[in-house]
Amino acid sequence: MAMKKEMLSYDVALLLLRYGQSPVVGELAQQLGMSEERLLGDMDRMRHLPRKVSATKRRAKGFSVEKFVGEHPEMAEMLMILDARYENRTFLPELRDVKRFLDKHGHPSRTVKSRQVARRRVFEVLVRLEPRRVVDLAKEQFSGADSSLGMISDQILRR
Amino acid sequence: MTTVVSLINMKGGVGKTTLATQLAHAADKRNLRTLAIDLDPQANLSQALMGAKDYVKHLNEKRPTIVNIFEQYLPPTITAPSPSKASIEDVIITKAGYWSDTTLDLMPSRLELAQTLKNPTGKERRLAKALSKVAPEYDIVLIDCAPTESILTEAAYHCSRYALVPVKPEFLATIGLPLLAKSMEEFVTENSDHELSICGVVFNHSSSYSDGPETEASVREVKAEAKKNKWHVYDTRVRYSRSYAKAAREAVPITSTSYVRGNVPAQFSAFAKEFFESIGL
Repeated sequence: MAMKKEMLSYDVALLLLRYGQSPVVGELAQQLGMSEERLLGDMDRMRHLPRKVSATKRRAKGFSVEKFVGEHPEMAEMLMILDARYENRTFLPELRDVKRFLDKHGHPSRTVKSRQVARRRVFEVLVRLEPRRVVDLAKEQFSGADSSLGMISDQILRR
Repeated sequence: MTTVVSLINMKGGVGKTTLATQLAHAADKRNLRTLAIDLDPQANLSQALMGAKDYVKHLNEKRPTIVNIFEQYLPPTITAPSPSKASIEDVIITKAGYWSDTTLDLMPSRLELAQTLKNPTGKERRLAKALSKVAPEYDIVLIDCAPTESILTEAAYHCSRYALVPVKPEFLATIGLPLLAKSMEEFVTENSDHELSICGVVFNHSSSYSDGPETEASVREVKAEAKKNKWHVYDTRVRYSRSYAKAAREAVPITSTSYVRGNVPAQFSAFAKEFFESIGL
């Protein structure tokens, strides 16, 4: 869904760049069978609508790294780094990475359906690890969002 | 006492690696001290257990693999600038299982194992010799074999007490079974002091729903062959599920894959129970 939205955003940006705002709005209004004024009015209303927050995000919203930092000041810096990296997907970038991490550390991941919801569990595991291991995780180089096949293929073909 | 079992069939695509991976995990969850050996140059067992990222990291760091057991040395690296003797302990990755209390170790493979096939003379017993040093530390050793007969198959035979034979119930796939039986027979004739037998045939990767007449015909034929040759056939069929492929990609046990149907892990668990009982574990 997020990917689709991103693609749409790129496409619209490209159209605006290529043709400018007025022709794009005009064509869009024609395609939708409405006047330009009405289309602009609708767009304006949509901009001011309160954003819906998904149940997943609402649950994830309850997460705060500060709680863990407060309880484990000796790991504070590393936890903050890992939190930021989790946020920008350079630490456990995919749900499968999260599941593997949790399974490996004694938290069955069977019920984990979303990376955001699993965030609290990940940090519960992190604070139980040896500080040296947490440092290693925080310093671990992110190898990019390559596919599993891509990684293995590059290794085989020595790229 | 250690029991060594090779997962073997002369036909590819019958699910040897899938079974090896999930059986290794099942053994691990039973707290059996388990060693999984990847004896296939394609290294799929290593990839499924370690995950693509860790596997590639392992290779990029030029860490030892089963290749070094067959070649008997570790090549020079930046940190060790001369060749050194390879021991099996160097090659084994400890605690390679999926969960926190894992007792599953892994001997990973890599593509260069195929080079061993080009120059195979005198290498067929090297794995068994190396394994004999660490075997007492394990309850079960599972060897995932490559699908063609080669020095690697012979190496697996030299290590094994049992062969577990996955069979896909399709006509062409079932032909791998007599080929395997012939190969094992020849091995036993040449190595009369070696006790090697088929612990069982498991129908693997059959349709997830009902079996059509073609599948049933193949099942009947395999059962008849098994009866003739006194091979055990497991009651539980491990049916196809996309979750197995997903588990391999995600490097997690089948139970941890998202949206797995409840009957899939239950069915595998029933087969695992049957399998362990058949080898006395």
